[in-house]
Amino acid sequence: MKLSIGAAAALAITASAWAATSAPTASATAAPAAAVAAPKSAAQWTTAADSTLSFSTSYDGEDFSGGFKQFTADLRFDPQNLPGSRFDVLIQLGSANTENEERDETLLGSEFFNAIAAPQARYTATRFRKLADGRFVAEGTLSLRGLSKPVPLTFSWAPGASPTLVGSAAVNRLDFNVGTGDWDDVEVMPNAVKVETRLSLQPKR
Amino acid sequence: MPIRNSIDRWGSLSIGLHWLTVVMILSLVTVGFVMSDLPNTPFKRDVYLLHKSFGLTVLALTALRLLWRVLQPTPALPESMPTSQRWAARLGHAGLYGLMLAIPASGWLYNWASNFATPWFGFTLLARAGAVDRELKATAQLAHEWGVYALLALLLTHAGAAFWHHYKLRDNTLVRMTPWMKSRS
Repeated sequence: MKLSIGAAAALAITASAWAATSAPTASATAAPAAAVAAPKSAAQWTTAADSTLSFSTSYDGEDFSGGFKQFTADLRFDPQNLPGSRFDVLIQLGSANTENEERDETLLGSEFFNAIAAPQARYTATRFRKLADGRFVAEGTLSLRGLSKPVPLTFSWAPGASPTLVGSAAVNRLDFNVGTGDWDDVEVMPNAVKVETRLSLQPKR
Repeated sequence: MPIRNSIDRWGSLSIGLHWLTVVMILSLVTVGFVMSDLPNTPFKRDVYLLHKSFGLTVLALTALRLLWRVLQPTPALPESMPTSQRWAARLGHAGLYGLMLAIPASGWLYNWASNFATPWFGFTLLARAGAVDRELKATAQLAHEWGVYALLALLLTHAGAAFWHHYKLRDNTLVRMTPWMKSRS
């Protein structure tokens, strides 16, 4: 009796396994179609020349800020199509300018941006969500000095033929080894650096 | 020793300020020559801050010394000194005072044109300009460096003349500024 029950069970398991592997169409029809189809891409934008990307922090109690003169932002964004939205921003670290030549030289050096060895930083985002106040959050990733960490970007989107994106993020510099060694004292230079951006956008043709 | 000067000797204020300035200038020149080669660390920044603070101190003290010199009698040059040497002495001292003002002033301009705040031992005397002025920065840097070369040349002449008075002419010129040494005549 036991033998036949065990044999029947083994047969049933084998049979269902065989059915699963040899009948793929069965599972496809059982699942909803939406999870399988790719989202339609949102409208593409490029940045106009007056767009800015800046950072601000302080050293030894003295505030200072700087901007990246060279960066390219490839954006796909539509408030009605967040799943199809994408951000891909390439930042030329060597274009950093804090209105102080000695400080800029230090920033590009190996203790900070290490711009000669790794000239570019990159920010990419494929997930977006909407906040209650109408702003959005890009749950993006920043790649800097060979390290990639999540950095959410909170931004507002002023729609129209030439939209404007105004956003800010907090980047923990030590997460990316920016200002290490003798410079890692967060009492002197805080860990969190405020990054702000204002992008004037044009439709990409 | 009196604080004030008299017709034949320096008072303790003039002597004190003279030697305080000597120590500060020798330190500033030495550090100034090596500090730009320091590795890029917070220590280098601290050295620069001290250099600027002491430099501004020399500027202020020199201005005070000049004021003191105007308000006070200046000990007379030795009676036997020929007119040509008197003019050399006056020119030499004017040159020293001029450089002791121009060198820190040009350093201050160099700092300003580089868009740094003006520091003084942890205080900020003047907020930064807001932007770099490249031309002013280059000019001020040149003036600052060449001023130091001129100062070093004048200092050698100044010390040499003092030793000449003391060891060759055997008068009291040097001793008036170094009262710890034995008086001549």
